[in-house]
Amino acid sequence: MSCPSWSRLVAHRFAGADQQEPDGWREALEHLGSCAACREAAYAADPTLVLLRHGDAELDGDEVSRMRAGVDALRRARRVEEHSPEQRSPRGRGADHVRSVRSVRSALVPSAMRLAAAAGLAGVLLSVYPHREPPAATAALPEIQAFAPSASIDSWGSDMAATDDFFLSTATVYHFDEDDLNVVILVDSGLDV
Amino acid sequence: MPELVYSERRHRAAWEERTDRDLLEGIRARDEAALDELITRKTGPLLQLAYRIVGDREEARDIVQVAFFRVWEQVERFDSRWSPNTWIYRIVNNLAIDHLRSRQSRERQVEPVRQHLRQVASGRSQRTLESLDGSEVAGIFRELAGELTDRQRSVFILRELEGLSSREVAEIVECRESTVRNHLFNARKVLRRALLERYPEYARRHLGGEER
Repeated sequence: MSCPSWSRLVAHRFAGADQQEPDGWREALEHLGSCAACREAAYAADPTLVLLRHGDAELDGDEVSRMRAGVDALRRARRVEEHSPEQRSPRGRGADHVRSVRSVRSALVPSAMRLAAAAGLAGVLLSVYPHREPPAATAALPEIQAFAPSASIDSWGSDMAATDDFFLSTATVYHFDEDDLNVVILVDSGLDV
Repeated sequence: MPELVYSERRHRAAWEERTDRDLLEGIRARDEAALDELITRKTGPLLQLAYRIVGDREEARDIVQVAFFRVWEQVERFDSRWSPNTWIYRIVNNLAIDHLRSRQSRERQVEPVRQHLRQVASGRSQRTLESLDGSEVAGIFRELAGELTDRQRSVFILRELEGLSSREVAEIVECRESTVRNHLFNARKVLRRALLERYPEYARRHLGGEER
Protein backbone atom coordinates (compact mmCIF):
# COMPACT_ATOMS: atom_id res chain seq x y z
CA MET A 1 0.00 0.00 0.00
CA SER A 2 1.29 3.46 -0.86
CA CYS A 3 1.23 6.20 1.77
CA PRO A 4 -2.27 7.68 1.94
CA SER A 5 -3.33 11.27 2.53
CA TRP A 6 -3.80 11.32 6.28
CA SER A 7 -5.39 14.73 6.51
CA ARG A 8 -8.16 13.45 4.22
CA LEU A 9 -8.42 10.09 5.99
CA VAL A 10 -8.75 11.43 9.54
CA ALA A 11 -11.31 14.10 8.64
CA HIS A 12 -14.20 11.73 9.42
CA ARG A 13 -13.03 11.31 13.02
CA PHE A 14 -13.96 14.84 13.98
CA ALA A 15 -16.63 15.69 11.45
CA GLY A 16 -19.56 14.26 13.37
CA ALA A 17 -20.75 11.23 15.28
CA ASP A 18 -22.43 9.62 12.29
CA GLN A 19 -19.48 9.84 9.96
CA GLN A 20 -18.53 6.52 8.41
CA GLU A 21 -14.97 5.34 8.13
CA PRO A 22 -13.70 6.17 4.64
CA ASP A 23 -12.71 3.41 2.26
CA GLY A 24 -9.26 2.14 3.01
CA TRP A 25 -9.28 3.29 6.64
CA ARG A 26 -8.50 -0.11 8.16
CA GLU A 27 -5.81 -0.83 5.60
CA ALA A 28 -4.28 2.59 6.27
CA LEU A 29 -4.16 1.86 10.00
CA GLU A 30 -2.33 -1.40 9.34
CA HIS A 31 0.08 0.44 7.06
CA LEU A 32 0.64 3.00 9.80
CA GLY A 33 2.20 0.35 12.00
CA SER A 34 5.06 -0.23 9.60
CA CYS A 35 5.63 3.17 7.99
CA ALA A 36 7.51 5.82 9.95
CA ALA A 37 6.79 8.54 7.40
CA CYS A 38 3.09 7.83 7.66
CA ARG A 39 3.19 7.99 11.45
CA GLU A 40 4.57 11.51 11.35
CA ALA A 41 1.91 12.63 8.89
CA ALA A 42 -0.88 10.78 10.67
CA TYR A 43 -0.07 12.12 14.13
CA ALA A 44 0.24 15.61 12.70
CA ALA A 45 -3.24 15.28 11.30
CA ASP A 46 -4.68 13.65 14.42
CA PRO A 47 -2.48 13.23 17.51
CA THR A 48 -5.03 10.89 19.13
CA LEU A 49 -4.02 8.23 16.62
CA VAL A 50 -0.94 7.68 18.75
CA LEU A 51 -3.20 6.23 21.42
CA LEU A 52 -3.87 3.28 19.15
CA ARG A 53 -0.32 2.19 19.99
CA HIS A 54 -1.33 1.65 23.61
CA GLY A 55 1.02 -0.88 25.20
CA ASP A 56 0.03 -4.43 25.96
CA ALA A 57 -0.52 -5.87 29.42
CA GLU A 58 2.74 -7.90 29.13
CA LEU A 59 1.51 -11.27 30.26
CA ASP A 60 3.72 -13.46 32.39
CA GLY A 61 4.61 -16.90 31.11
CA ASP A 62 2.50 -18.57 33.76
CA GLU A 63 -0.34 -16.09 33.57
CA VAL A 64 -2.94 -18.69 32.76
CA SER A 65 -1.82 -20.94 35.62
CA ARG A 66 -1.95 -18.05 38.05
CA MET A 67 -5.36 -17.07 36.82
CA ARG A 68 -6.61 -20.63 37.12
CA ALA A 69 -5.28 -20.90 40.68
CA GLY A 70 -6.85 -17.59 41.64
CA VAL A 71 -10.24 -18.51 40.24
CA ASP A 72 -10.02 -21.89 41.91
CA ALA A 73 -9.31 -20.18 45.23
CA LEU A 74 -12.39 -18.02 44.84
CA ARG A 75 -14.49 -21.06 44.08
CA ARG A 76 -13.13 -22.79 47.15
CA ALA A 77 -13.98 -19.75 49.19
CA ARG A 78 -17.52 -20.02 47.94
CA ARG A 79 -17.61 -23.66 49.02
CA VAL A 80 -16.29 -22.68 52.45
CA GLU A 81 -19.09 -20.19 52.68
CA GLU A 82 -21.69 -22.74 51.66
CA HIS A 83 -20.69 -24.94 54.56
CA SER A 84 -21.50 -22.59 57.37
CA PRO A 85 -19.54 -22.89 60.64
CA GLU A 86 -22.65 -24.01 62.50
CA GLN A 87 -22.84 -27.13 60.38
CA ARG A 88 -19.28 -28.22 61.11
CA SER A 89 -17.74 -29.27 64.29
CA PRO A 90 -14.36 -27.70 65.11
CA ARG A 91 -12.88 -31.19 64.81
CA GLY A 92 -14.31 -31.49 61.35
CA ARG A 93 -11.60 -29.34 59.85
CA GLY A 94 -9.52 -31.85 57.99
CA ALA A 95 -6.37 -31.51 56.02
CA ASP A 96 -8.30 -30.74 52.87
CA HIS A 97 -10.06 -27.87 54.55
CA VAL A 98 -6.81 -26.42 55.86
CA ARG A 99 -5.26 -26.69 52.45
CA SER A 100 -8.14 -24.93 50.81
CA VAL A 101 -8.25 -22.20 53.41
CA ARG A 102 -4.55 -21.56 52.97
CA SER A 103 -5.01 -21.40 49.29
CA VAL A 104 -7.94 -19.06 49.68
CA ARG A 105 -6.00 -16.89 52.02
CA SER A 106 -3.04 -16.53 49.75
CA ALA A 107 -5.25 -15.71 46.82
CA LEU A 108 -7.83 -13.57 48.51
CA VAL A 109 -5.99 -11.29 50.88
CA PRO A 110 -4.15 -9.25 48.26
CA SER A 111 -7.11 -9.44 45.93
CA ALA A 112 -9.56 -8.27 48.53
CA MET A 113 -7.40 -5.32 49.43
CA ARG A 114 -7.20 -4.16 45.87
CA LEU A 115 -10.68 -5.05 44.79
CA ALA A 116 -12.57 -4.09 47.86
CA ALA A 117 -14.44 -1.29 46.23
CA ALA A 118 -15.15 -3.10 43.00
CA ALA A 119 -18.50 -4.59 42.18
CA GLY A 120 -19.48 -8.21 42.53
CA LEU A 121 -16.95 -9.52 44.92
CA ALA A 122 -16.52 -6.14 46.49
CA GLY A 123 -14.93 -7.03 49.74
CA VAL A 124 -14.05 -5.33 52.95
CA LEU A 125 -10.86 -6.48 54.53
CA LEU A 126 -11.71 -6.06 58.15
CA SER A 127 -8.54 -7.25 59.73
CA VAL A 128 -5.35 -9.13 59.13
CA TYR A 129 -3.21 -9.53 62.16
CA PRO A 130 -0.86 -11.99 63.79
CA HIS A 131 -2.81 -14.48 65.78
CA ARG A 132 -1.53 -13.45 69.15
CA GLU A 133 -2.12 -9.73 68.76
CA PRO A 134 -5.45 -8.37 69.88
CA PRO A 135 -7.68 -7.02 67.12
CA ALA A 136 -7.54 -3.52 68.55
CA ALA A 137 -3.87 -3.40 67.72
CA THR A 138 -4.35 -4.34 64.10
CA ALA A 139 -2.13 -2.52 61.69
CA ALA A 140 -4.75 -2.77 59.01
CA LEU A 141 -6.93 0.02 60.32
CA PRO A 142 -6.06 2.49 57.55
CA GLU A 143 -7.14 -0.10 55.00
CA ILE A 144 -10.33 -0.69 56.90
CA GLN A 145 -11.10 2.97 56.64
CA ALA A 146 -10.34 3.04 52.97
CA PHE A 147 -12.36 0.00 52.06
CA ALA A 148 -15.45 0.44 54.19
CA PRO A 149 -17.12 3.67 53.21
CA SER A 150 -20.51 2.75 54.63
CA ALA A 151 -19.47 1.59 58.05
CA SER A 152 -18.14 3.09 61.20
CA ILE A 153 -14.93 1.47 62.30
CA ASP A 154 -15.45 2.55 65.84
CA SER A 155 -18.56 0.44 66.07
CA TRP A 156 -16.74 -2.80 65.30
CA GLY A 157 -15.90 -4.62 68.46
CA SER A 158 -13.19 -7.18 68.83
CA ASP A 159 -15.73 -9.97 68.57
CA MET A 160 -16.94 -8.96 65.12
CA ALA A 161 -14.89 -11.63 63.42
CA ALA A 162 -17.29 -14.32 64.51
CA THR A 163 -20.29 -12.52 63.13
CA ASP A 164 -22.04 -13.91 60.10
CA ASP A 165 -25.12 -11.72 60.18
CA PHE A 166 -23.48 -8.41 59.45
CA PHE A 167 -24.62 -4.94 58.51
CA LEU A 168 -24.48 -5.64 54.82
CA SER A 169 -27.33 -7.94 53.98
CA THR A 170 -25.62 -9.35 50.89
CA ALA A 171 -22.22 -9.67 52.50
CA THR A 172 -20.48 -12.82 53.61
CA VAL A 173 -17.86 -13.04 56.30
CA TYR A 174 -14.81 -15.24 55.75
CA HIS A 175 -12.82 -15.91 58.86
CA PHE A 176 -9.54 -17.74 58.38
CA ASP A 177 -8.17 -18.50 61.80
CA GLU A 178 -4.85 -20.25 61.51
CA ASP A 179 -1.74 -20.65 63.58
CA ASP A 180 0.10 -17.67 62.25
CA LEU A 181 -2.56 -15.44 60.90
CA ASN A 182 -6.11 -14.38 61.54
CA VAL A 183 -7.92 -12.93 58.54
CA VAL A 184 -11.45 -11.60 58.32
CA ILE A 185 -12.81 -10.64 54.93
CA LEU A 186 -16.25 -9.37 54.06
CA VAL A 187 -17.33 -10.22 50.55
CA ASP A 188 -20.33 -8.54 48.97
CA SER A 189 -21.61 -10.43 45.96
CA GLY A 190 -24.82 -8.44 45.86
CA LEU A 191 -23.97 -6.32 42.85
CA ASP A 192 -24.88 -7.98 39.60
CA VAL A 193 -23.38 -7.73 36.18
CA MET B 1 -4.46 -43.66 39.13
CA PRO B 2 -2.49 -43.13 35.86
CA GLU B 3 -5.62 -44.14 33.96
CA LEU B 4 -7.58 -41.55 35.86
CA VAL B 5 -5.06 -38.84 34.99
CA TYR B 6 -5.06 -39.91 31.37
CA SER B 7 -8.82 -39.81 31.30
CA GLU B 8 -8.86 -36.34 32.80
CA ARG B 9 -6.38 -35.10 30.23
CA ARG B 10 -8.49 -36.49 27.44
CA HIS B 11 -11.52 -34.83 28.96
CA ARG B 12 -9.73 -31.47 29.05
CA ALA B 13 -8.39 -31.88 25.54
CA ALA B 14 -11.90 -32.54 24.31
CA TRP B 15 -12.84 -28.96 25.15
CA GLU B 16 -10.00 -27.44 23.16
CA GLU B 17 -11.82 -27.79 19.87
CA ARG B 18 -15.15 -26.54 21.15
CA THR B 19 -16.65 -23.09 20.67
CA ASP B 20 -16.93 -20.46 23.40
CA ARG B 21 -20.65 -21.13 23.49
CA ASP B 22 -19.98 -24.83 24.10
CA LEU B 23 -17.66 -23.90 26.95
CA LEU B 24 -20.37 -21.84 28.61
CA GLU B 25 -22.75 -24.77 28.25
CA GLY B 26 -20.10 -26.97 29.84
CA ILE B 27 -19.71 -24.52 32.68
CA ARG B 28 -23.47 -24.48 33.09
CA ALA B 29 -23.19 -28.25 33.55
CA ARG B 30 -20.50 -27.54 36.21
CA ASP B 31 -17.69 -29.05 34.14
CA GLU B 32 -14.47 -27.62 35.54
CA ALA B 33 -12.51 -28.60 32.45
CA ALA B 34 -14.72 -26.24 30.44
CA LEU B 35 -13.88 -23.41 32.83
CA ASP B 36 -10.19 -24.28 32.55
CA GLU B 37 -10.35 -24.06 28.79
CA LEU B 38 -12.19 -20.74 28.95
CA ILE B 39 -9.48 -19.38 31.24
CA THR B 40 -6.79 -20.63 28.88
CA ARG B 41 -8.51 -19.03 25.93
CA LYS B 42 -9.58 -15.71 27.39
CA THR B 43 -7.02 -14.72 30.01
CA GLY B 44 -4.87 -12.77 27.55
CA PRO B 45 -7.56 -10.71 25.84
CA LEU B 46 -9.45 -10.03 29.06
CA LEU B 47 -6.32 -8.94 30.89
CA GLN B 48 -5.60 -6.63 28.01
CA LEU B 49 -9.04 -5.08 28.22
CA ALA B 50 -8.98 -4.71 32.01
CA TYR B 51 -5.48 -3.25 31.90
CA ARG B 52 -6.50 -0.70 29.32
CA ILE B 53 -9.42 0.38 31.46
CA VAL B 54 -7.81 0.51 34.90
CA GLY B 55 -4.20 1.10 33.85
CA ASP B 56 -2.68 -1.24 36.41
CA ARG B 57 -1.58 -4.78 35.68
CA GLU B 58 -2.15 -6.22 39.14
CA GLU B 59 -5.58 -4.70 39.45
CA ALA B 60 -6.38 -5.98 35.98
CA ARG B 61 -5.45 -9.49 37.08
CA ASP B 62 -7.73 -9.27 40.09
CA ILE B 63 -10.59 -8.02 37.97
CA VAL B 64 -10.24 -10.79 35.42
CA GLN B 65 -9.99 -13.36 38.19
CA VAL B 66 -13.26 -12.16 39.65
CA ALA B 67 -14.76 -12.06 36.16
CA PHE B 68 -14.01 -15.74 35.58
CA PHE B 69 -15.43 -16.53 39.00
CA ARG B 70 -18.57 -14.66 38.04
CA VAL B 71 -18.84 -16.63 34.82
CA TRP B 72 -18.75 -19.80 36.89
CA GLU B 73 -21.21 -18.53 39.47
CA GLN B 74 -23.62 -16.71 37.20
CA VAL B 75 -23.54 -18.72 34.00
CA GLU B 76 -27.27 -19.32 34.39
CA ARG B 77 -27.73 -15.65 33.53
CA PHE B 78 -26.09 -16.10 30.17
CA ASP B 79 -28.72 -15.87 27.48
CA SER B 80 -27.92 -18.18 24.58
CA ARG B 81 -28.98 -15.43 22.15
CA TRP B 82 -26.00 -13.38 23.26
CA SER B 83 -22.48 -13.66 21.98
CA PRO B 84 -20.35 -15.38 24.66
CA ASN B 85 -17.52 -12.96 24.03
CA THR B 86 -19.80 -9.98 24.44
CA TRP B 87 -21.15 -11.30 27.73
CA ILE B 88 -17.71 -11.96 29.17
CA TYR B 89 -16.37 -8.63 27.97
CA ARG B 90 -19.36 -6.95 29.58
CA ILE B 91 -18.54 -8.56 32.91
CA VAL B 92 -14.94 -7.39 32.74
CA ASN B 93 -15.90 -3.93 31.53
CA ASN B 94 -18.42 -3.48 34.34
CA LEU B 95 -16.04 -4.73 37.01
CA ALA B 96 -13.26 -2.51 35.73
CA ILE B 97 -15.47 0.57 35.54
CA ASP B 98 -16.81 -0.07 39.04
CA HIS B 99 -13.25 -0.36 40.19
CA LEU B 100 -12.37 2.95 38.61
CA ARG B 101 -15.26 4.60 40.39
CA SER B 102 -13.49 4.05 43.62
CA ARG B 103 -12.10 7.44 44.48
CA GLN B 104 -9.26 5.84 46.33
CA SER B 105 -8.17 3.90 43.28
CA ARG B 106 -8.39 6.97 41.09
CA GLU B 107 -6.29 9.09 43.39
CA ARG B 108 -3.72 6.35 43.78
CA GLN B 109 -3.26 5.79 40.10
CA VAL B 110 -3.40 9.21 38.55
CA GLU B 111 -1.03 11.29 40.61
CA PRO B 112 2.08 9.13 40.38
CA VAL B 113 1.48 8.62 36.69
CA ARG B 114 1.06 12.34 36.12
CA GLN B 115 4.27 13.10 37.95
CA HIS B 116 6.12 10.41 36.08
CA LEU B 117 4.90 11.63 32.74
CA ARG B 118 5.82 15.20 33.49
CA GLN B 119 9.32 14.01 34.28
CA VAL B 120 9.46 11.97 31.13
CA ALA B 121 8.18 14.84 29.04
CA SER B 122 10.50 17.43 30.53
CA GLY B 123 13.50 15.15 30.31
CA ARG B 124 12.89 14.22 26.72
CA SER B 125 11.87 17.43 25.06
CA GLN B 126 13.12 16.19 21.74
CA ARG B 127 10.79 13.22 21.72
CA THR B 128 7.99 13.07 19.24
CA LEU B 129 4.76 11.14 19.30
CA GLU B 130 6.23 8.77 16.72
CA SER B 131 9.04 7.79 19.07
CA LEU B 132 6.97 6.99 22.17
CA ASP B 133 6.86 3.32 23.04
CA GLY B 134 3.76 1.37 23.96
CA SER B 135 4.11 1.76 27.71
CA GLU B 136 4.63 5.51 27.38
CA VAL B 137 1.53 5.73 25.24
CA ALA B 138 -0.31 3.69 27.87
CA GLY B 139 0.77 6.16 30.53
CA ILE B 140 -0.40 9.11 28.48
CA PHE B 141 -3.72 7.45 27.79
CA ARG B 142 -4.15 6.69 31.48
CA GLU B 143 -3.83 10.33 32.30
CA LEU B 144 -5.94 11.65 29.46
CA ALA B 145 -8.67 9.09 30.05
CA GLY B 146 -9.30 10.70 33.42
CA GLU B 147 -11.15 13.37 31.46
CA LEU B 148 -13.54 10.89 29.90
CA THR B 149 -16.79 9.67 31.35
CA ASP B 150 -16.95 5.97 32.17
CA ARG B 151 -18.98 5.28 29.05
CA GLN B 152 -16.68 7.30 26.82
CA ARG B 153 -13.69 5.47 28.22
CA SER B 154 -15.23 2.04 27.67
CA VAL B 155 -16.39 2.87 24.17
CA PHE B 156 -13.05 4.36 23.13
CA ILE B 157 -11.12 1.37 24.44
CA LEU B 158 -13.44 -1.25 23.01
CA ARG B 159 -13.86 0.42 19.63
CA GLU B 160 -10.49 2.03 18.98
CA LEU B 161 -8.02 -0.06 20.96
CA GLU B 162 -9.72 -3.46 20.94
CA GLY B 163 -11.07 -2.97 17.42
CA LEU B 164 -14.58 -4.26 18.12
CA SER B 165 -17.48 -3.25 15.91
CA SER B 166 -19.98 -0.60 16.98
CA ARG B 167 -22.59 -3.32 17.33
CA GLU B 168 -20.41 -5.40 19.64
CA VAL B 169 -19.55 -2.35 21.71
CA ALA B 170 -23.22 -1.45 21.96
CA GLU B 171 -23.99 -4.91 23.33
CA ILE B 172 -21.16 -4.76 25.85
CA VAL B 173 -21.98 -1.35 27.25
CA GLU B 174 -25.71 -1.95 26.79
CA CYS B 175 -26.73 1.00 24.67
CA ARG B 176 -27.66 1.79 21.07
CA GLU B 177 -25.13 1.86 18.27
CA SER B 178 -25.92 5.53 17.69
CA THR B 179 -25.04 6.18 21.34
CA VAL B 180 -21.77 4.35 20.86
CA ARG B 181 -20.94 6.59 17.92
CA ASN B 182 -21.75 9.67 19.97
CA HIS B 183 -19.58 8.54 22.87
CA LEU B 184 -16.73 7.72 20.51
CA PHE B 185 -16.95 11.07 18.75
CA ASN B 186 -16.97 12.96 22.04
CA ALA B 187 -14.18 10.82 23.47
CA ARG B 188 -11.94 11.64 20.50
CA LYS B 189 -12.58 15.35 20.91
CA VAL B 190 -11.89 15.26 24.64
CA LEU B 191 -8.72 13.24 24.17
CA ARG B 192 -7.39 15.48 21.41
CA ARG B 193 -8.02 18.62 23.45
CA ALA B 194 -6.47 17.07 26.56
CA LEU B 195 -3.47 15.79 24.63
CA LEU B 196 -2.75 19.16 23.11
CA GLU B 197 -3.26 20.95 26.43
CA ARG B 198 -1.24 18.64 28.62
CA TYR B 199 1.53 17.82 26.21
CA PRO B 200 2.18 21.08 24.39
CA GLU B 201 5.69 19.86 23.69
CA TYR B 202 4.11 17.31 21.38
CA ALA B 203 1.36 19.60 20.22
CA ARG B 204 3.77 22.26 19.00
CA ARG B 205 5.49 19.81 16.73
CA HIS B 206 2.27 18.51 15.38
CA LEU B 207 0.58 21.83 14.93
CA GLY B 208 3.71 22.82 13.09
CA GLY B 209 3.34 19.66 11.07
CA GLU B 210 -0.18 20.58 10.14
CA GLU B 211 0.93 23.93 8.85
CA ARG B 212 3.46 22.47 6.53
